[in-house]
Amino acid sequence: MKTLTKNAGKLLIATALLIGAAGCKKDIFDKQDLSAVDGDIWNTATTTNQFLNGTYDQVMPNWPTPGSIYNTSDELNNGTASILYGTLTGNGNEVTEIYTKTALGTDQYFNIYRCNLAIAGINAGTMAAADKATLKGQFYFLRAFTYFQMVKLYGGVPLVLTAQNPATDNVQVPRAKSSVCFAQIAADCDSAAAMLPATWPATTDGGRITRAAALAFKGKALLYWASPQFNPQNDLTRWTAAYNANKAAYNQAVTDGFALYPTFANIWTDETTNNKERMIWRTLDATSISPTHGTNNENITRPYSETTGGGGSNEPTWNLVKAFPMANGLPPFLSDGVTVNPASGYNPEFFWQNRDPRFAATIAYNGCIWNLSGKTDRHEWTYQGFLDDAKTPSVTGFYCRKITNPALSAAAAIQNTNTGGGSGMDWIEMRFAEVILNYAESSFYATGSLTECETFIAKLRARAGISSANNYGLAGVTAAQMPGILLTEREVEFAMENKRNDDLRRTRQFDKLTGTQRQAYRWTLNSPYVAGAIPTPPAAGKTYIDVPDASGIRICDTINVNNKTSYEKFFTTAIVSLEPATTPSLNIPVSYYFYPLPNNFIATSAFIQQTIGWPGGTFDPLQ
Amino acid sequence: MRKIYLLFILLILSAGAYAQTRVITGTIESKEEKETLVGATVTIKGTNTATATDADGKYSIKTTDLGTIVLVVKFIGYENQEVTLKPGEMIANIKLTATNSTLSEVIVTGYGTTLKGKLLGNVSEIKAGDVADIPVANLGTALKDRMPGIGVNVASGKPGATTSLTVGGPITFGGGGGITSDPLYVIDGLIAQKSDFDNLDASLIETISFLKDSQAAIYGAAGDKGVVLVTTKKGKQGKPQISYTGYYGTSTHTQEPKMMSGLQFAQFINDDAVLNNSALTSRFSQADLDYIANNPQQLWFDQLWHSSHTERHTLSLSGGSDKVTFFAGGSYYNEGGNFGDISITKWNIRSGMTAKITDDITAYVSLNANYNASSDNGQKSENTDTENYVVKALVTTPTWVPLYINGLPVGITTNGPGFWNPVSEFNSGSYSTAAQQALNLNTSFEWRPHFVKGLTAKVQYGKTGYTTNGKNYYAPYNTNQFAAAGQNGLLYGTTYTLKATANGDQVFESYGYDNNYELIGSLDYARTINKHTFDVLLVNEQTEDSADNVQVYRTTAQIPNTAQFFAYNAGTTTLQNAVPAESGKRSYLIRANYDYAGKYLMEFIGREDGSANFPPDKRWGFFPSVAVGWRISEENFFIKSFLSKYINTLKVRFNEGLVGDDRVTPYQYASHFTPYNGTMLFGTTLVNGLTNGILPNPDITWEHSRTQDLGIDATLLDNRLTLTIDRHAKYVYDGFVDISTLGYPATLGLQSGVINYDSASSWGTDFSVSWDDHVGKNWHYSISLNNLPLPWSNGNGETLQQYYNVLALGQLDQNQTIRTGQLNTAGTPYGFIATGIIRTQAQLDGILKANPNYTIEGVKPQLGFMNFQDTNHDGKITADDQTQMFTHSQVTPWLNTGFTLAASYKQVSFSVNGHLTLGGKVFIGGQDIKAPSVSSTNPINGPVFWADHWTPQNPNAKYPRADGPDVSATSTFWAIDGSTGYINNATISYTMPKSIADKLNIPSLRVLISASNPWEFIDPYNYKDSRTSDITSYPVIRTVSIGLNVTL
Repeated sequence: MKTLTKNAGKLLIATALLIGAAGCKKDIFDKQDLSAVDGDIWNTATTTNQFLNGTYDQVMPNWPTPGSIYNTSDELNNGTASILYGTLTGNGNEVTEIYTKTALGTDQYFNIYRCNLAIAGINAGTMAAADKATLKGQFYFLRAFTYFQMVKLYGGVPLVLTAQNPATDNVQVPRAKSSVCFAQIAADCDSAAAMLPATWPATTDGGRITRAAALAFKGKALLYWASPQFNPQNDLTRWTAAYNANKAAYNQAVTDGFALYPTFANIWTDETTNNKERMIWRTLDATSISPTHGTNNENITRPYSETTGGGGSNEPTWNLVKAFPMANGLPPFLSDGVTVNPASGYNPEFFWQNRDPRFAATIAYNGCIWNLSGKTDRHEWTYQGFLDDAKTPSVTGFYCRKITNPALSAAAAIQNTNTGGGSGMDWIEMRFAEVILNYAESSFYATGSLTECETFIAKLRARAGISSANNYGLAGVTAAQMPGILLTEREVEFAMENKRNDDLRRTRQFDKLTGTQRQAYRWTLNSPYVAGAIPTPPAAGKTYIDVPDASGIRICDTINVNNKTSYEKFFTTAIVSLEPATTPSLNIPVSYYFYPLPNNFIATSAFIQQTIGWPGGTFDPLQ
Repeated sequence: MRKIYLLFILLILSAGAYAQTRVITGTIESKEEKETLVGATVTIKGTNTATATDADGKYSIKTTDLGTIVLVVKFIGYENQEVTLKPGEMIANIKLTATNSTLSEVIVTGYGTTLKGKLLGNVSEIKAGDVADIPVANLGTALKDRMPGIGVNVASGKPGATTSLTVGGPITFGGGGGITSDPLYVIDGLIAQKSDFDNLDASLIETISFLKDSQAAIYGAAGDKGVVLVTTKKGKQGKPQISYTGYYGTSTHTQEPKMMSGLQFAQFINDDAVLNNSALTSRFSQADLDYIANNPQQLWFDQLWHSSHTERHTLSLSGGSDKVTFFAGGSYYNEGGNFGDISITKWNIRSGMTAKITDDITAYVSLNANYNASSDNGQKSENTDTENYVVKALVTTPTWVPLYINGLPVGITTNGPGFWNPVSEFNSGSYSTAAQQALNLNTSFEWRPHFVKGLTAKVQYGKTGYTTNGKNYYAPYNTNQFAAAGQNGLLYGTTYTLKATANGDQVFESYGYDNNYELIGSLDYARTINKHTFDVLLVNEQTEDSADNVQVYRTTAQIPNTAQFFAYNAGTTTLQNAVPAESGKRSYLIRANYDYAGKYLMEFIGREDGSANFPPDKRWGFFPSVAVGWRISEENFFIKSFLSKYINTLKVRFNEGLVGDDRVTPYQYASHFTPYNGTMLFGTTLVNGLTNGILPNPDITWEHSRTQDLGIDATLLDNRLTLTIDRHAKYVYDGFVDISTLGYPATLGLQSGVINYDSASSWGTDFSVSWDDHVGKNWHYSISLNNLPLPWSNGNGETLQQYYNVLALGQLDQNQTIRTGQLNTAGTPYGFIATGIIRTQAQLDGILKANPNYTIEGVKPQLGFMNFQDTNHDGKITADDQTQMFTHSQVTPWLNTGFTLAASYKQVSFSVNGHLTLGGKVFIGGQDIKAPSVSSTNPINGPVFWADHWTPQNPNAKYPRADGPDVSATSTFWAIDGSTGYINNATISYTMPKSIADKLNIPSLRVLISASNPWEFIDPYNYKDSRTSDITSYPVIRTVSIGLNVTL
């Protein structure tokens, strides 16, 4: 018994001491958050790449919302009233690109943080140098891209280039000058270009940024910095910088195999490697790979009858329709936009005839053949009261053909936010054509010479199918006319591609829309022809042209719109305003070249100034 | 003659004694333990002659009285003893018996016990026996109003509704991120979870102690918000005893909210329509009113609410020899709800054995289990604590809306999840259940080597495993949509169509586990040398925990009415959440106690804690505390003074210390990357992404709280009166604050989490009094009051440093105040100063004459509107006119006390516990001040007081027109006197006299009647129970139960 006492006692003392000794061991604290991966993701390419993928998804634009604040212009029917009619409140609560504070990950600075964190993490990590370069290059690009999206709207913004730690860093960052922001965007693009590959494997990495794309984006950014929005004093050195950057981008792109796609009409539908024109894009899919990565754009853009309860959006205005040159490259109207250019061969009655082939690829008009949903010889009708689309008729008289895929069925056009579907058409953020036009424009402004500029515009016109006679219609163009030509070329080439708003603002042409209207083209049926369903009993002496007869033929489908007699027998036309009676014309103040920062963004720091031109504004975005 | 002689001799002797002294010596020791007692006082009765025993328990006292004298011996924790010495007796060895008086009570204070007389902190203790007869689902509920500084908040009257305790006024700074105001729970020396405490049955507990000040530093790791220490019942030496207690009770609401009758509400709607010139189609026709008057429907409440029952059974077995003692006990608790299928069931089993393996070694092993299951009818998205949809529908549906027409439930669209009827929902078969089980092992070995006196080595090991599971079945159901009738379409016809409510169409299950262990090693050395008593304790302790929880659901039933996964569309299987977690903590502790002759007391506690919640360089925190005490009543001068006749004991104590808290979402210091909630396509490949969580805070560390407490403990008037006064102050710094919503500049780009930033202080006084006495032999009574006010000792708090950003500064609204450096204004909400109802045209003209542009919230004033003070003098009433309506002292009651009264007469005893508030303000708020809905097609009824509203015919109404602006805004109009008084529970019991019990051969038998919430004797609201926040709250439940206790 005594031995037991002694030994048990020793055991106890020993145990008591052991617990103390165990305390020196680290493992009790060797715990981790089991619901997340810790900071050690920068040492392997896989995890860093996953972080990059998430960043791409945040940063890379998807299909734009027609008429959203950044997609409002004279080219389409949708529009944000506060922009079109000059009623922004001044507190920035409408232009919330920079900050919405709805949740983690919805704001641009979250993307900036991700890029900054990744760049620092990769630098400190132990990956192979080659892996580091390609990964880091993409983060540099995404950071440049994100800053550019903000700067083009607001002017200079707070420039944060490190993943800040509030304990050690001064997190109160005032707005940087626009010049500093553009310099950083250019530098980031250079850093990216130096690290990125010429091409990526198409099936696994198609859509990642290449070195040429990074340089092209730099050229675009410097073009903005040189453009009147930021450069009303026309500082030539900025144009020179833009010219050099776009030239370099063009050369690199050519070297790396980028080229114009031969058929303008199929740029958006050919997603194979044959399409060398796509430089920056987001891959979408609605069927084979992932049904949930589609777009509903097809459903909202097509006429109602070829959708599932859609239609009504993305309708081109008469303003856009007028802008297309003729097949000979000449503008249909003189510079007043009203008087017909006698040399052009434009026929106001049959305005669709003899136009630049891009017209037919872009615009669907009353009576044109548009084989939607795989229906051959399908006529598009946009006259008033057309039965099939009566529920959501075309308000402009036109539909957008360009960014649609006619092979898709009406049922497949719609995307459901839960189950997916819709069109799998990729969103192309930047085409090689843009590099060419950026080159042309900066060449013209930097050198004052028309030659190189015209050569580059001609490349696009040649691809479009415009006759090469008279230097593709550019012969005799004066330096005074060239800015207009350049802007119109962009309007036509990039019609409905969400570029018009940017271009109008960049060139300070947006406020020139004040007092004008967006217009529609209206076809009205002449008596005795009547659109719509046949009432019971049918009205005497009327001919209902939308309803098939006993043999299944609709009278409307027999109309030859290119035959003057037939056309005039059926239709009377008019050009009408799209603007409502309460706001009969557009009104875009000059201050809209730099939108106000949202109040709740400014309020998060006492050091962030509002822009001049807005209440309490002291920040000069032109510096 | 002989007598005279004797007398003479005595006279001589006494004369001689005057010159002589007599020295009496002896040893004082305890009767039971046969240990000498150091510092016991010995007084000669009727004189001021006194002494105290020395380190060996010896004393010597001189007296000149050579006759018969009486020695009075006093020692803390022992009965006072008087010993009569005959003339000539010079030696008196005295044995003292330990008492049960409160001062000698052993108080559990963490890692040990102390005598209450030597206690140096603000510690409250309750004997579980005091609350054992109160039927409660969660133990905490029974502790309401029993001790100063202990807050009990019960979420609702629903059986098993969340009960939270606060100890000593914890300070928290809001936000999420794992910040809590819960105290730390310790059961039998092991840190436990709140659920363990909730599930405990009072019958299995001995005592509960609450450490409110720096005494909690002994649990420095998480003592910031106070510590609750539970000691459960252990076996007692003796013949095995088996004890059974059973209770059976019925429960229903204390008070049904008084609502407007159907006719009153209909008239109310018409009055509003008349004042607003509304179309006839929005009014009831006279025929409609007649119909409502002649066809009074019962309230839905009256039709669906029913009384429920509660039962509770406990059984325990205890006994043992001098070598082995054991205890085994179990309890079962079941309580039903008052509508639908609400119920809660609890099982609690505790068993323990203490064995003296050798004279030196004692082993203790205990196995415990608890099980808790609750269920209800589970309308999806309904609050499980408050059953908000059902209660609101029951109370606010106007009486002209029948619950059934021709036996079919009538659908309504208000008060719930769209179109529904609670009966349809109950009948759908939907349910939600949650169950938790815990299994706990608590074992220890203690070694007291006989060769090193005073040394104790102990190892304690505890392991607890928890499993939780929940199942929710949300079935779709149909409700009958009846055609509208009546002029305004608010009445019902008899034709109907079926309308479906999806109710989520879901089956959901969750499973979780949590395993932890705690290992404690301690060495204690306690000795008394001469008058010096010291005790040094060294402890080291570590604990680790790992847990996981998985939640899965499927939607879209393919086989209806089948609450199983197989019956649902497999394609909809969704893993909603999986929350694995692990943590670890280590502590080193030293506690040193010293006292001199039991008079001067000192204590030092130092504790070093490391928590895995924090980064390695911020992991360790040191939490010291010092305490001193002076037992004045042990001083000779005191004993000799007249004061000792009135004051039995008097102690002054002070402590100051640092405590901490690590209870915050762990690993906030680390970067977190989680799968990106979205995917990207590259080429033809779908790739996965990662995203980052909140901003890492590499500096996150312990929250600190410095506490001071100056206390006085006294017993007076033969120990009948007990006073405890504690003046306490607390200063919290490095306070956890979740700044995710306050944030950094937006340019930082990432949401932030918890930082250590805020600081605040608070101070106050706990004053409790109890009186315990008997009248004659048979009457015994006691009164105790806690939280009594002292005129000079108002408590309050002050925010010293509060995180805010410029966003908050620029866009303050009335509810967001920056209070840095200001006294807290708790209870003084912002609102309008009401100036009264505009009753007459003259008043209205006067207002408009003074200011023709006067508006209230943009509306030109009209008759019957409530008018307000234009505090910013801008000529109109807007939200900017809201201000602090009252001062702190106006809203603070002058008395806010809990009380307990007990009395017994022979075998009958009675006890009652309640609360009394006098003065201060409370506000009518919530649903009650929302104007009864007058425009909706599904009207919401209001409290009965709305019937007395202003109309041209009733210009002197107490209440304004309900459609006026800001009528439902918080204003002084809605402030009423805050005096409140209610009884929490009352028990009357009868114990069979021993004589009869002996005849029946039953050691003890007791019968009782107990009532919870029996009476509210002061109700400031005359239409609802003051303990509910508004009429749509789950009602307060009154339970009356009978009980029987037998011990064999």
